Amino acid sequence: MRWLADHYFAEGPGISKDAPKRTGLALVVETMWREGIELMKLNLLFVLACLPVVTVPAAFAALMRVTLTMAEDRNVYLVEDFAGAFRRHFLRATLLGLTSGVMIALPAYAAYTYAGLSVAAPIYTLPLALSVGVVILFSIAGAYAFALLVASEFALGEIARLSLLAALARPGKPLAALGFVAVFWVIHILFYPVTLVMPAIINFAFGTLAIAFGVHETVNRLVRAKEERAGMAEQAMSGA
Amino acid sequence: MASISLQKLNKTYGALTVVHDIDLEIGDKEFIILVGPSGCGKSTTLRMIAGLEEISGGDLVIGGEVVNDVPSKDRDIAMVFQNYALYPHMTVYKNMAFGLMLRKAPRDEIDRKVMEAAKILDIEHLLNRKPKALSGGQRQRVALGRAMVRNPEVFLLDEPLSNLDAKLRGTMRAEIAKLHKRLGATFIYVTHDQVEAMTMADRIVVMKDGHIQQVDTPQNLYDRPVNMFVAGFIGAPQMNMMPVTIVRHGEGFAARYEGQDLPLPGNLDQSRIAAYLGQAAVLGVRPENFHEVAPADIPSEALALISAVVELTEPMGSEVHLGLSWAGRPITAKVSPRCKAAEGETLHLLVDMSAAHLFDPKSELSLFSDAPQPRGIAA
Repeated sequence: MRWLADHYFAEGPGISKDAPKRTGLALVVETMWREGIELMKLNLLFVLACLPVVTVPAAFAALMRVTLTMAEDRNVYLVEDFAGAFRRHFLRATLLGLTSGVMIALPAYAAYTYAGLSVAAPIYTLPLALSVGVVILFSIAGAYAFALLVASEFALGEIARLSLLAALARPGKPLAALGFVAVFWVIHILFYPVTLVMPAIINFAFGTLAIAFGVHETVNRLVRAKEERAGMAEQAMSGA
Repeated sequence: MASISLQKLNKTYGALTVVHDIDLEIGDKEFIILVGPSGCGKSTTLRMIAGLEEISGGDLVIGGEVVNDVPSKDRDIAMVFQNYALYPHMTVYKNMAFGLMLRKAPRDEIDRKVMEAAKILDIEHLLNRKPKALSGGQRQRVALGRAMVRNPEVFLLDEPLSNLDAKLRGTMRAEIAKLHKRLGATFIYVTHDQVEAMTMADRIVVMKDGHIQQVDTPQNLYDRPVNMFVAGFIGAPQMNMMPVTIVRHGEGFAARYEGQDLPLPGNLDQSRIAAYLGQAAVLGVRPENFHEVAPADIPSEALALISAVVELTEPMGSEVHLGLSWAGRPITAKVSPRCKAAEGETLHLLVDMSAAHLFDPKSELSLFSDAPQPRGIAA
């Protein structure tokens, strides 16, 4: 037991106030390492919240809210924040989830169809690539949309417009995050049944944290820009 | 209002009494330090005030109310432990917020208080880190922050700096003293380090074997120790003690040590010395009261010339500690770094007898001090 006590109670090297803050992938890894246990609890919470199925979009919105807070290096009250976001965004998240689901499912089905056809006729490779591109674009837009949903009070139409624009303008980081999510699922499938519990404790929360890291800068910028515009309009109104 | 009164406070474990009927009055917003060697009962006393130890006898009064049976959580006190006692699985923020969360304080209030405390302690950059990554000093700041967010009337600190290295201890000492002024709360601090006690306290309580020896301001403790224990405990290196006999010396008196008469000048209470004429006493001389040359501010009649053999030299940078043999008795003198005394050499030193102390060899009480007065709030 001594090693455990030493592990927990031995003094660390300290954190200098002037130490440069980690950025990029190093920051993602550091946050995942530091919040590992919390993320596992969060994953479990998400899975439980998804059990009634209709709650999946709201649970995902709540998951996004908590992971965004982690990505912004702010304090998280796990259960309280998750439950609060779940209740607060339930209706809008459900609508957004259904819309996003359909928007991704349609080109995904098209891609599936063209993939089958392209085996016999290579000409179908072109629509297949287009369909896959649309799936990826809408997946990225979906990630932005859920982050915008929980980070702002924008109307759903505005969220859809901004998330599509963001997906077109800044697809890199969210795409990398989606790749990270895909890696988790590939590991889960490849090593099944050893990885039986992975979806219950790892895949969703760690994956969503990666997505949160991928989108939070752009989302914050969009929210700030909108607030500044609203502030300027208010000033203009009061001036008039 | 957080004045604290210990009235005949007593702690026993079976037949063993570790705190003996101690009386102490601690004023509101006072910074009081309990100091003494290991096992003297200082931490037990603090833990009784905290409510972590049951009181065996006497009364503990906080803010005019007897709180012997009041649970710790309801005493409006916060305690900082030597080993920090941080929750390793929680972030710094949550460690600090935990007490407020248990009290179901609103989140806005928790956030505000945590951020305020973090700003004061300069640990804002650590809030979302786990204690494992923090150094000892940073952990101690977090422990202080955890106490601060509760905004208690009384802070109890149990050897909070003992686990830190010397440099950090110095920094944290100053910070705790500043914190006390800023928060305006009552601080009760336990330490065995007399430097901490001397530098931070409004008053110091010196304890030994479960008894209070003396309660006074740091300077008074140093200048007017009531007994040999306090005289030896306060001051580093410790006071030199020599067995002497009080004899007549011209118009006044002298302390005779190994055949040499050391004059006891008029600033020392001659009537009290007179009562010991022809009797044994213990002469106490602090190491800094030995001089190589006569200081300008000390009258020559107060200086006594002695010869001692140098046995050890300890250069400290700003001063040199000399281990000397004076008539076969080991003593320590603090001299200037310019002193080039070599080991084995006989050195002639002047003793400032106006700063000397005399003690009764049996009772060990000072001849110049009234009986110990543990009660009373500093003016």
